Amino acid sequence: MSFAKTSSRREWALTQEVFDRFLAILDIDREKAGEKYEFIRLRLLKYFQWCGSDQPDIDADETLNRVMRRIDEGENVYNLDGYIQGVARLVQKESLKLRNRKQELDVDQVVELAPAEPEEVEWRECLERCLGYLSDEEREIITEYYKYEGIEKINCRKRLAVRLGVSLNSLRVRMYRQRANLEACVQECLGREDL
Amino acid sequence: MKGRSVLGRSQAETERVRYLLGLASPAEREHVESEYFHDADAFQRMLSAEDDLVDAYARGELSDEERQRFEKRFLKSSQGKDRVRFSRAFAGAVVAPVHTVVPPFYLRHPVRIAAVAAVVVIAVVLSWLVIERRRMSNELRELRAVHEQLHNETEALRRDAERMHIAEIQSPPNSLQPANPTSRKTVPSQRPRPKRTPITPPQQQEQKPFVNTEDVNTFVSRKIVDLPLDISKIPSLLTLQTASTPEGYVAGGRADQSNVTLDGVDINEAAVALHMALNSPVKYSDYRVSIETAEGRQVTSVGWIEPPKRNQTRISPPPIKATDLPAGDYRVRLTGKDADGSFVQVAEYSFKVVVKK
Repeated sequence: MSFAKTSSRREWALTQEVFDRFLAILDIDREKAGEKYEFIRLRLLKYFQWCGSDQPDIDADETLNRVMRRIDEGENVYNLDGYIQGVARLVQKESLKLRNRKQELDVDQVVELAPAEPEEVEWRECLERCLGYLSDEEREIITEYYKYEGIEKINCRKRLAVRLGVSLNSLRVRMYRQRANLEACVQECLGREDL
Repeated sequence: MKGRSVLGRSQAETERVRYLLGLASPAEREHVESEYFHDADAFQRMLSAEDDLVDAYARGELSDEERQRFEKRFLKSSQGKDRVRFSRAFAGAVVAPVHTVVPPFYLRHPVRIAAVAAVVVIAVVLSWLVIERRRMSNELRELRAVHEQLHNETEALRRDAERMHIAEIQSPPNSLQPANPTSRKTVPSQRPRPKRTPITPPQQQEQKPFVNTEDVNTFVSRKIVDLPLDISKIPSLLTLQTASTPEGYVAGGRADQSNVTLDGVDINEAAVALHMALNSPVKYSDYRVSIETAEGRQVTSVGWIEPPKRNQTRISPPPIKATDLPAGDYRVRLTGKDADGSFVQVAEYSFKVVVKK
């Protein structure tokens, strides 16, 4: 969570009071409200990533700041998700304009990864170490979940959901979190936890 | 094109991947974004699709266009690069199997399948032929057995017929035979007949036998050359008298008949007793004897009821007056009364009366 100022004409700063008021709108329970806020931020972050933003986290925070500002200014928001989506679309357009200007000045360079970078050995070692932190069942499940490709992957995930007695979507969420934890573990192992 | 396109999936998945790669139309973008902004599950599906896309890139499964799009969108940031590195390491860690599309067996080995099918068909046909041949052999064997049986029966019939013929030719008269075998006079006898067993083929067990050995006594007429009227053989002569025994005793007759010679006999008072032998025991309770001349003129007819004894094989009708039998050839017809009241012929004999002077 960042408390950056918006780039609007009128000076407006996100305060703790405004932020708390926004959380109260999300949920009466502050803890649940915090989880919902993180989910909204993650969704915005991904939205800007998928839209090709160069700074998706900044764009996501800008969107949230604008929404909280409107609410703070007294705007009645009945459909928060739709409202957030609309604001994000505006921010994305503004970001796209800035990016296009910047691309005109910079050399368009696409960094392509070498097929096998030397540091990938470290990645594999760290990953194996992090996988070792998991229980046998968790390790077997995530390995099975990401093992296959194509139609076999779909079938495998369906079988896995049936075996675990959960829906495919629940399994998907569980695996996504497991994978995110693994990635964080590997980053930490590589000394990049600050990234 | 290097690698396989990840777009070849369901429409929803394809739409998500196109969106992630920036290939979606404005309408598609609007649809996908509205979906995951309002539905947490849809957003989760987008996250999974993103992971799968990164994995596909790390494993070299994207087409050239998809790969270029991916690199342009995901590899600009260090975070995106790290995700790909993680995915590469992760792909190696999960030991992904070499994906090979295994076609069905019948497509991999069509010739082998065809050969196996041909062998199966041949085996079935051969089995059928063997079974059919065995069945036909059994039928042929049965037909031969029936043929053999019929042949044997025919042979038996033929032998019976020959034996009967020979017996008819060779059989001597066995009734009214004089006590003295050297006598010139003979008594007609019933022709002996071999007892036959009805032969019926197996298929005609319920039918009547075609040879009836019970109700019919076939016979051959034989002439009696001489009656035992030799005067020197009194006992034999007396057998021709009424109720005379072979020993010469005449029950109820004249006591001095034993002194009668043929020349001195009063033939008007003489009688002739006929004793007729049968092939089988009597079966009728009422018999009739009819005597005719050789020309067919009936001389006399004697009907009587003689309670038959068990296994009785000889018929002895009441004596006939000698005056009724002048010299000449005679035929004796023996009939029995059937259950329906009609008389059926049982036997036929012939004899000759010669009067010595």
